[in-house]
This record gives sequence, C-alpha cells and structure tokens, in this order.
Amino acid sequence: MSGRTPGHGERVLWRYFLPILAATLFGVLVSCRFQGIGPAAHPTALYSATALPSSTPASLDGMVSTPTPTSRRELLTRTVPEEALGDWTASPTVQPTAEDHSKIVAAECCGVFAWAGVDWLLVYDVEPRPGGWLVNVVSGERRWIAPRFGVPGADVIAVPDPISGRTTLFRWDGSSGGTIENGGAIVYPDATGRWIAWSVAEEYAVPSSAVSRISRVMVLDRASGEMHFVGRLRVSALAWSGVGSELLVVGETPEDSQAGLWVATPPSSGLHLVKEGRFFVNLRPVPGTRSVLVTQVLSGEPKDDGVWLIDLDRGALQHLPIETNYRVAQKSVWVLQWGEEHDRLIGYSLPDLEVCASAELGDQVLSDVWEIAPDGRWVAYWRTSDQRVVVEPLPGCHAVSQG
Amino acid sequence: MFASVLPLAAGEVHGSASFALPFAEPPGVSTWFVSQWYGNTVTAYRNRAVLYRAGQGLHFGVDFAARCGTIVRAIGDGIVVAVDGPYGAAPHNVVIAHPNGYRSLYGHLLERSPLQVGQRVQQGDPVGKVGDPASPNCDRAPHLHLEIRDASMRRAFNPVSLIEADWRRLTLGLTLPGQRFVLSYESPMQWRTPWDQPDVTFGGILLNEWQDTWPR
Repeated sequence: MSGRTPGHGERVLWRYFLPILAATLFGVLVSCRFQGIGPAAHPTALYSATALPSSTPASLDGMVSTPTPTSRRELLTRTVPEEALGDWTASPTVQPTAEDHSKIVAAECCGVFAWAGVDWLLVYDVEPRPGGWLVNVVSGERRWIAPRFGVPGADVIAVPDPISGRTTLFRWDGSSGGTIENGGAIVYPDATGRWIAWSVAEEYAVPSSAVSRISRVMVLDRASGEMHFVGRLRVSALAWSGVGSELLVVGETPEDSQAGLWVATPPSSGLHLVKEGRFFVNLRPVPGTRSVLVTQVLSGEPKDDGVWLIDLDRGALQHLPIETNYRVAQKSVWVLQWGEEHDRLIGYSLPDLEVCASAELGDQVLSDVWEIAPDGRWVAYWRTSDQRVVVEPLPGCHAVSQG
Repeated sequence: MFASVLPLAAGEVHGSASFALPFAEPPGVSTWFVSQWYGNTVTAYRNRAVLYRAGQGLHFGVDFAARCGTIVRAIGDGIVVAVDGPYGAAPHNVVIAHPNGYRSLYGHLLERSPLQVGQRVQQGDPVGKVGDPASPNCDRAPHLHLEIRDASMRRAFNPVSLIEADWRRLTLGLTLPGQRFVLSYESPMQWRTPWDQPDVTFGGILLNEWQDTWPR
C-alpha cells in the first residue's frame, strides 16, 4: 500500500509542469476560448455531477405525484411550454414511502443519464424529440435542453458538440449561458457553479487501449472568464469534490509515471498526490462533502485492493468492506447485487457504514448503468427488459442510520 | 443462442459452443475482471483509427485485466495451431483450433507459450501467462486479450455469446470506459450492450466512423 505523500506530488508536478506551463499557456489561451457569463448567484441545484457520468433516459409508470391526472404516455411526451420556462421554480418534493413502488420511465431508450439535482434527472431520449432532457421524477415535467447529452452542474448543463468543436453551457431553462471553444471536449462543472474542468489530449496513439492519453488538464473560472492550466497527466478520470472547488484527477505523470489520485485547488496551479498507486477506478465524490470513494484493483497487495473512502480535509483513508459496484449519495453508499430476475440495492450509511436499507428493483440493471440521486431518495437505471431508463424510489437510508 | 455468430466457413463450425472462461480463479479486485467488452466500446471508439483499425474500429475480443503472471487456460478442447503467429496482440500469442470450427486467440501473453503447434489441449489446460502490452514491467495495462475467430482467422465473434459465464458479474461494476458503449446520435440504440455487437471482418471498413457521439 502506498500512503499519502504530502507535498511530494506537488513538487514533482511543479518540476515538470513549470517548463510545460510556459510553453503551453500561450497555445491554450489561443486554442480555448470562453464566451459567456459567470455562475448564477443562486444556483438552482445543490449537487455536482459525478465523475464520467453515463446516462440513460427512462419512462414513467405511476408517478409519485403529478400535478394533473395524465396517462403514462402523456407524461412521456409532454413538453413544457416555452413561456413556462422562464419562471421555473423548484417543484415540491414528495417523500417516497416504503409502500410506494412507483417506477418512473424517464426515457424510452439509450441508457444515458445523470442526476442534475434534487428530483431532476438529465437523460438522453429520442422521443418526442432527440436530445438531452431534464426530467422531474416527482412532477413528470420534462424540459428539452439541447440536441445532445451533457454533464449537469450547479446551474448549467455542459453540452459538448464535437462537430463545431465547442461546448455550450445551457441553463436549466434551455437558454445559453456561454460557450467554450475547446474542441468540444466533455467538461465537468463543479458544485459551486464557478469552475469547469476538462482535459485536452496531447497524443493520438497509445500502446494499449488501457493506457490513457497524455492530456492537459484545464480549468475555467466562470467568474473571471480566465482559463488555468492545472497539470499534464495521463488522465483516466476527472471529477470535482462534492462541495466543488477541488478537482480530483486519477492519472499518472508522463515523465516518471507517478500514479495515483491527485487534487488541485484552482486557481492555484499544481496537483497534490492524495493517494499514490496504480489502477484506481470508479471515482465517486460524496455529494455535499469533501470525501470521495475510489477503488484500487490489481495492486499486487490484496490488502490494498478494494474500496477506499478518502477524506480530503484530513487526508484520512478508510478501507471499506463493500463490493465495488457502488454509487454514492450524500449520506449513504449503495451497492448493487446482481440477481437472477431482479437486482437488489444494499444501502450503507456514511460514515459509519452500517447496513441501513435494502431495496429490490423491478428488473435487472442493464450494462451496469445505474445512478443514485444525490440525496439518496431515487435510483435511476437502464432496465434490461425493455431498455428504458426507469427511476424507482429508495427507502430512507439516512433515517435508519440516524435512528 | 449461438446461431447468429456462426463463422462463414460453413461446415467447419457447429451451431453451438461450450467454451469456458480462461481463468481458474474467481473474478475479483485482486485476481481478474472484464476490463473491456467486445465491440463498440468507448475505448474502442477512441482508438478506432489506429489500434482497432484492422478490426473495423471495434474491439474484436474481450479484455480481462489481471496481474502479470496469472495463468491463462484454454477455453475449450482443441489443437494448438499457432504460437506467436502473425495475429498481433503482442508480445506473445497462442491460437487453438476447436472441434466446433472456432479458434481462440490468447493475446498479450507475458512470454512465449511452452505449447507446441499441433499439441492437443483440453479445456482448462494452461496456455500461458498474462502479460502487459504497454510495459515490460507489467505496471501499465496487464491483461489478457481473448478472441474467438473462424477457421480462416478473418472473422471475429463476440466471446460473450460463445462462453458460458455469468457475464454481468465479471465487470465488478467498475464503470471503466471499456465497460461502456458509445452512443451514436445517428443511431442511439445500436450496439449498446455486451450482448448486441456485430461480427468483425478483419480489413473491412470502419463500422463506427461517427463524428457525433456520447461520449466522444
């Protein structure tokens, strides 16, 4: 096992990054450009996107709460009138109960989705109009955002366009909040609404598909419009901490192959090595906190392999005795158990990690595509039987653990 | 179940296969797991023009991440027809011909296999050891690349359809890019799961030469 090496990673990176920074800064400033406005003063969503979100749309069987009686098909196809988008406010939430087995179909296909905020799921769907849709899993409201899928952040959804080479930041009402000319890279907004990160590959060919490309990690400050070079790594995962402002990078230095989980706090440059080692996967920040879950595999030391909870404040590392098929909510971790007909979710409270809930899903999850809502009240998954994206309520894990 | 993956060489294959996994140990974070599916994976898409160009841009096998030195075992009875043959998957590979007409290829082996061409093997016999195509120190990308081809070696088939296994569990749920499939906005439901992937004809045109995808 490799322990924390405070400061060493930063020194190493500065040694290599300073010359590179000087050489690349000019090119970066030329090749990447931001046009837009700063973050909203009062972000409408509470949680940031998780690392490398996958996505999936779904459909709606028996809504938990609907404003007006409507059929399932109507819920699927209903769109929000343009005039209603401008004065949108958060929908009242409905606490799912143990008796409530409602299944909400959020999209008809495709298995691409990410939680955007409390009760809001961003999905890609083809009906009634192809594109990224925001779906309120309580009210059934659906908002078409853009022709493509994107990454949700505090107040925007970042939608890359590989054709134009630009990423557009869409507000939740569908209007544009700015563009980033970065080649159309996938970008990751943070929970504060101020920062956006992405990586730009510097090399084309790699010796194996399992080897990540050498990339420049970039951060945009939406408040000032300035871009910052963070570092140069073989990047295998990018994510912001659950409270934002701290960028997490799984990667290794190209020069001396120092690998592990790195943290950067923009606008100050430099990356700190939080946990050294190879083969870190399934990076999952805990929403609303400065903790993160990550899994180490094939380290050569079986005692080091498995799931780790890392507290970025204290640098503390905790080895968690749970399976690797996990997702994280603010106060709970959920592990998927594969079943013959129905999969099951087991909830563990954070930070004490006691089993606090169990929920049998209505079907099997297809291709491991599932996500827990940041508040732990919902699970969205790609349903095997019909390849729709569905949302089901979960029992209250945090309530049990507090009791 | 296997009818859709019959090789072209009619008469040389049977309609079913009963292949086994290439490891004796159970999957786990310290042993092995599926790191890249066959087909239109995110990783394959990103490397379609170079690494996977010969395979029509798709990943034409299944990758099993494992520590270097892990013993690789024959997935079925057969006869060794190539050791370090001209089939890529460096640094070392082995090809076994099976009675049902399929051939299995074991790639990225650590060292030259002790097997000899013409030698008979049974399912579960050692074939070689897992190696790393990216590093002699085995610290970059150690894995087994397993392919199933027809007798002509010109077509590759999805091993998921030909090997009896509880495949869902073999990823460990790690959400690696190789465990995901690219969505083409032109055809968003095509080739999106491990069980829905096309056969590959080596040297054929790119099947995934898309510009507008998620992710890219």
